[in-house]
Amino acid sequence: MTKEILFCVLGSLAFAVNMKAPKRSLFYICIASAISATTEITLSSKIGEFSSCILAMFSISMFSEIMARILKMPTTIILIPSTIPLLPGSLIYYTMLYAIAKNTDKLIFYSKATVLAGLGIALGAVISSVFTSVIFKH
Amino acid sequence: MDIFTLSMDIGQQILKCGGEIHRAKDTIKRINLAYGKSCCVFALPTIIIAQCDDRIEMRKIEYEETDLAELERLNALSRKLCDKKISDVNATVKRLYSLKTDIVSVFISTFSFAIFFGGSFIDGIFSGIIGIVITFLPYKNIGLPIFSSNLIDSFIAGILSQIPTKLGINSSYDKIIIGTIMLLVPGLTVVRSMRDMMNGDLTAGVFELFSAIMSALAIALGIAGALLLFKII
Repeated sequence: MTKEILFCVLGSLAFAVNMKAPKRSLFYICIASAISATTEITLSSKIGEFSSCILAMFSISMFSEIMARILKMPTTIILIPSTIPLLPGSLIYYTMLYAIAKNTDKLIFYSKATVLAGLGIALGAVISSVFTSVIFKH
Repeated sequence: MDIFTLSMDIGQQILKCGGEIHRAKDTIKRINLAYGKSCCVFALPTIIIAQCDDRIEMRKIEYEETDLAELERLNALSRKLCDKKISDVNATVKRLYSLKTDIVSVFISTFSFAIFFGGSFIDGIFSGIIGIVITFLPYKNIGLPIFSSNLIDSFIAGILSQIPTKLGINSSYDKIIIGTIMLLVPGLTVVRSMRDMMNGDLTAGVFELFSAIMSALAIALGIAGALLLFKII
């Protein structure tokens, strides 16, 4: 598990460099992606892909909102690279694979998981943006 | 320089660098308000229209390239403009990381995600090489729409991932593909569309959500094409 989290953080950091993130934000991107990877890996087997995606997305959104206010930079700079570990890249692939192989049972399973992971990311972002608008704007 | 034109340029640049619609609209409004003008702004991911006094200006966003450093610079610039502490308004984009760093970062990102999704060390290395190939394909400067470019990229990634197996190297092509398509999966678009919808920009949010679904579909179709070509299944 430690190895997976390490590679996740390394991957997100490389993505951040690829997206030309400013150098002073790289350290915080590492922390945020470690949070998202740890939440996703430890919880997805216990409470399911959907709930773990919501939780992970919620925690990194809150983290990046707070850090953005401290560092005076847009929230997106920390948020976008640290969302990478949650993306359903392998799920999209397996959905497509079983669609070609005409394996309906697995196709339904994987397409459901892909949609749920996407919805989880979206819902996590929604909940945290409601939270931040309540906390920071009033 | 005219402040209204300047604010429009900044808004256009924000959308080009991957900022949210809300941020672009807000920046234009705030800068103009700081100089005592009120303006109306309408923005979609591909167009900005704004009216100030008796003038209407329009900007079109032809292509997008995620550049978070530029986004930060524009944010700081608009803060300075609002506080009227303008030293120099500079529109040139500086290259933050060298080309070598870009190549290495693409390699590391695909390498680590191939291993993260259960691949071996060899899978990671092949995935990294394919990642570099599809990032620096020569057609990139034509400016194809995101659907076509994702289709081409994932098709080429699917074909190249078969080579190690055909050469008799002990590797699993699915892990190589999964690592590579992490470069193409539209995560940024989904997050941005949700943030836009929550800020009340429903039209822009739906627009981006649909573009995310289309690019996911393009990835699936491209790889399906490559796999069918090799008659793996």
